[in-house]
Amino acid sequence: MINNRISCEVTIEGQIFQCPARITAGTLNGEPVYGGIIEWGNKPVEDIVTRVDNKMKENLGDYMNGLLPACAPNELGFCYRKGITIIEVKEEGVCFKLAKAGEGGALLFSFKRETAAGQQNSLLGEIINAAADFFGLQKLFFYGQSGKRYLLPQIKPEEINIDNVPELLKNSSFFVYTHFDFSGESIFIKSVRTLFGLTETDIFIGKGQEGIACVLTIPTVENSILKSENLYMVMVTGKNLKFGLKGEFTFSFLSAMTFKTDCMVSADGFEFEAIAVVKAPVPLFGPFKLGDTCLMIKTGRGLTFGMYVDLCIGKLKIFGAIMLENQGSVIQLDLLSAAFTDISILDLVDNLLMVNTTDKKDIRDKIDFIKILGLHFQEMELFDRNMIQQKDITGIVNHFNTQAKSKEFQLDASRVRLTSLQGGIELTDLKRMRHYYINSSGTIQLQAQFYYASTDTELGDYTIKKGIFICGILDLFGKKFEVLFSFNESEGLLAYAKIPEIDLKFLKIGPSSFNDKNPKQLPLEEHSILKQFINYEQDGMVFFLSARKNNISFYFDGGIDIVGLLQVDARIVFCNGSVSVDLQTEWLDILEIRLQLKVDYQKFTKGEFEFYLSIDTSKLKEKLTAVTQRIDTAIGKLREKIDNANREIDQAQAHVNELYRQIEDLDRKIANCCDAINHASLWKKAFVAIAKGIEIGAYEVAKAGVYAAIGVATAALEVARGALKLGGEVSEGVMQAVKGVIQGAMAIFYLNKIELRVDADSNKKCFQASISFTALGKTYNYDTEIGMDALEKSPDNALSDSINKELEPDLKNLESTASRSNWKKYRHESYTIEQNCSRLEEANSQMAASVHLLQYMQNAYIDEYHVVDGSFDEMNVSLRGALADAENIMAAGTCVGDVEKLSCAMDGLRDSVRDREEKGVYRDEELNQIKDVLSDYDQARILYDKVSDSMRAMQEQQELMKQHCNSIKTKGSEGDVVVEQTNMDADRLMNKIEEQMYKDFPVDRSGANFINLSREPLIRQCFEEAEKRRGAVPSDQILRMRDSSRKGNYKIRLQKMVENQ
Amino acid sequence: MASTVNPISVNVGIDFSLLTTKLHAVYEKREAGEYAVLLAPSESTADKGVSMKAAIEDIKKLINGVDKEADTSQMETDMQKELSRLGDEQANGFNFDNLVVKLSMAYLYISKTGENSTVEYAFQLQIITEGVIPKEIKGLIDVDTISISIWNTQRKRITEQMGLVSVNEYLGISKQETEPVE
Repeated sequence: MINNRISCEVTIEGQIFQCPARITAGTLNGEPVYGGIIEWGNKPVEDIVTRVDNKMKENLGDYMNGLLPACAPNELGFCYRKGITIIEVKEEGVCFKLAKAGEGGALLFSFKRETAAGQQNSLLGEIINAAADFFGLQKLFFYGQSGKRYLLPQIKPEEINIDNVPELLKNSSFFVYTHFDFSGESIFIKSVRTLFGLTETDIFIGKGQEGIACVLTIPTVENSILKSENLYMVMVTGKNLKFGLKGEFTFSFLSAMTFKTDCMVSADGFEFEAIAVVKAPVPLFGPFKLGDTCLMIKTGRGLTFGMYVDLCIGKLKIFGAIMLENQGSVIQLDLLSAAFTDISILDLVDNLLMVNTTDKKDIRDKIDFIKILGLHFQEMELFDRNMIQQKDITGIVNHFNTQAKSKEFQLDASRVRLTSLQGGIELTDLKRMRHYYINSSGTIQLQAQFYYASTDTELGDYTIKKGIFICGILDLFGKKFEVLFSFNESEGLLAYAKIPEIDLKFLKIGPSSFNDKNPKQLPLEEHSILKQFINYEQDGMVFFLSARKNNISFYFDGGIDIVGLLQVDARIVFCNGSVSVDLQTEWLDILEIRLQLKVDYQKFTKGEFEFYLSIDTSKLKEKLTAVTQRIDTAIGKLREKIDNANREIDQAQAHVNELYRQIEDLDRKIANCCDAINHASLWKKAFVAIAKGIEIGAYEVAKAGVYAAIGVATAALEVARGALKLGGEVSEGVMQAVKGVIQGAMAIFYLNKIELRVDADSNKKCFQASISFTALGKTYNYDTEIGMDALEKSPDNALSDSINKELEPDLKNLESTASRSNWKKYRHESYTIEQNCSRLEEANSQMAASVHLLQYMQNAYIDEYHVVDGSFDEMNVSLRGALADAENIMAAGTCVGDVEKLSCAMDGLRDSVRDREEKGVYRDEELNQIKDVLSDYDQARILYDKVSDSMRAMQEQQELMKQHCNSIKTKGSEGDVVVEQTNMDADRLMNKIEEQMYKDFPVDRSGANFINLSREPLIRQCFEEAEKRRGAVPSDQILRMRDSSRKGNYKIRLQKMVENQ
Repeated sequence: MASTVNPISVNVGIDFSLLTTKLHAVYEKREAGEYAVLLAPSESTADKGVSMKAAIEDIKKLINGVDKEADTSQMETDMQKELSRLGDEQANGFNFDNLVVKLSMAYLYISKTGENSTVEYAFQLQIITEGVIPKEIKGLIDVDTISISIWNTQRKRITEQMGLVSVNEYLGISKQETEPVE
């Protein structure tokens, strides 16, 4: 029978590395393999390295040269397989292999310690010799490589087992290896064997990242306490000498947890880290289970302590991490982080106490009021169930990154861990120490968590980056407060918050009331994470801010309502350089303001933007209807009197004349002053007479103000009338100015301000209100209280009712007198502009003298008796009220005769006159008419300015009185010493006051317009009677003044009034 | 004492031609119907080459001439399959159809014993076609010659004498790792 098994061989003869070679070709697992012999010709092995991989020679020459075998082989083995060429020396007792793969290569050869001894000048030689001496080593292996490809498995001889190369050296360019047997009986070997239970070890000496490292592998140890695997001790040389222990160990009582340890000791400090990563939480006791755990202790400049742990309590899972650094006496927090699955008090009871409350509704209702929940991604599509069940990291990461394209959330598949939890999986982003949960139906949420790191560092598998991250939902009594805040230097700032709709009676917070919440209208970036967090079906206020190096996005939508008085709605979006602002505010359901702005930020400075502002005052008008209705009624009656008037100016004049009614009111007040004098005690009568005389003077000033106000209004209307007569020559500007004057004269109601104050106390039932308004030439200032119920029910009615109540007496008076002509009643006195101006100047002096005398009188009394008399307060209040009346009347005058409104128009006319006169084309008659109007205007303006000056003078006098009142109050509180009154004191005081009165009110003043106290017989009589009763003798000066005061004509006010009484 | 007659063995020198190369072998006649033919390993210097196909045909003829029942139908396929793995066919490396060879060394042993017959052979063929160097080794070696050996003998003396060592044997790779030629 013929043997059918056929063998085939292809043989190639040629030159390799310039040496004759015979190569046989074959196949292995379908791939070509070449092997053969190179006739090397007894050249040294060093030449092999040079010819095959010169780069290796350059990189490792210093380390390997002295260690290479000193042989000169005749033949070299050659092999080529899978792109790797291997050259080896095939001589008895020599191990030398060199591999070449692409640009890189690797070299392995053995040497003896004597060889290394020749390298004593090099660091490697020193360490090898030290280790060889220490351990008694003889045969060692040198492995080196050029390039990054790790080729040891390909060139490793079968007789040595160096599979467990420490990770530390796998990236090393070279290392020396030897296997050491601890079966000897030397003291060292015995010690190591006893202490560590070691019987053998592998020793590696190589180039690590920080210098030459010597590593001793520790074989698997298993005893009743722990089991170790892949443990090795390492000695790293370099700037600092370090010893370390690295590898894995398992405690027998926690056999499901394998701890990876990394411990280093150096001259600078000590570093220990043990980390356990579990496939599933390991039961401890009761409901507690332990998940991934890490402990780190590091000493250097200070002590650093760090740890993290995943703790499971029943179905709940809590992650906690902390890192503290102790520098001197200061403990610095480097890291603090925690993350929770959805948790509530009820969950804690169920899981911690193992109590089932499912059927105990009463208990559940009482304790289930607070929860901490994760934050849902609004637009993330569901994760595939198979993906979740199979823990497909790549699939899950791709799905996540596709949905959440924002940089600050992108996951790295190599830095993600998946752990089974409650039927779903917990996804941990190791790069950011961030925790997500994907439930069994595929919905993802950011777990409630917080993170604070003050420095960049590492802890276990986690990378710690300096920054802050907080997120979660606080569910309090069913109200969900959502928050997310992230900040770190590389990814920027991200902040999101949603406050639910809250109604605390006095404060309501919620979403804005804009009803156009169309997501497509928002100028969001395509990949903005904002989309994940904004819930357009929101029931609360939403805030979002994302700020990165070249991009800032901002979003706010919310509304606030303060005790129903003020409602503000706002929505602001800033994204991609575009700004969109919607703002709407409503006050008391009275005033509505709406602002819309859409602008490209880059174009903003060029003025390219859309802007819309709407202030809706129609409601204000409606609300004030109730206020003005009563006034309108009164005005209607007034207007009936002048229904025959055809021109608006006549009507205005009629209105102005209504100011005469103020005179009646002032006369009534003057009469009241006389009453006060009659009721004063005998010896104080002089004081009271002076004070009331001063007050009467103030009312007379106010009356002068009425005439001046009417005068200035009349003058203004005359100017307007004159301007209208100019006919076709009148410009639009003049017409508008005239209209302004007429409206001013017609104006009878000004609402100056309304202030409402309320404390944020829902139990308080009323508001404090300050209202200021001017009606019919009179200013009303008053404080009142408005009920909260009334204001909430109908704020407009509540306000108008209050104003009407204040107006009522004056309106009634107005209506009752409307049937007769106020004009006729008060027309008995009329003054020219010059007279009015003169009267106002005199009025100013009158009030200055009055205020000075009153203050002098009171101060002199206090100086004499060191006590404040009880009547001072009433005197001061009365004078201040009279001054306020005078000021208000003059203010009304400036409003009803607002000549200033004509100033521009008149200046225009004046220019026109000048131009036309220069050109000489204007007819004289028309020119004269304009000149007349201008002349009237100049006169009116003089009076208007004088009224304004007087108004300010009244304000100044009021201020002086206010200061005086404060001074009196202070003196009153200091008045501990009360001097007993004597006749001498009283005489001196009376003399001083009478003398001062003659100074402030000289006897030669006529008193035609305003009272002259020095010439009032009643006051003189009071002083004389007081003297007579005490037997006092007046000074010569006083006697002279009294004589002088009796001379000439004087219209007596006080005596006459008293007589009339 | 009875005398015995030992059987007579006859050796006859025979000349034959293989791959256009004349070879000299020894023919040994044994008992009836039994014989053996031996071509000891010998080097040969052929003047011209033949195509690989022709060479296989010649070898097949030689084998089937001895044993008509010997199945040599797969020889060509097996060779083709084996050679094709060694190189890049697209670069025409070791393309069976392109190869031109000449015999450089041969060994043949034929033995007929009753119903049993044995054919052992080993041929070393030198490839004389230029430009068929596989791409894989172009960068590694400056090629002078490429030869192909085909053998079925297991005799160690013969394989050593002819240098017939497969690369797997050379590399010490176990048989389980390799894919044997069927």
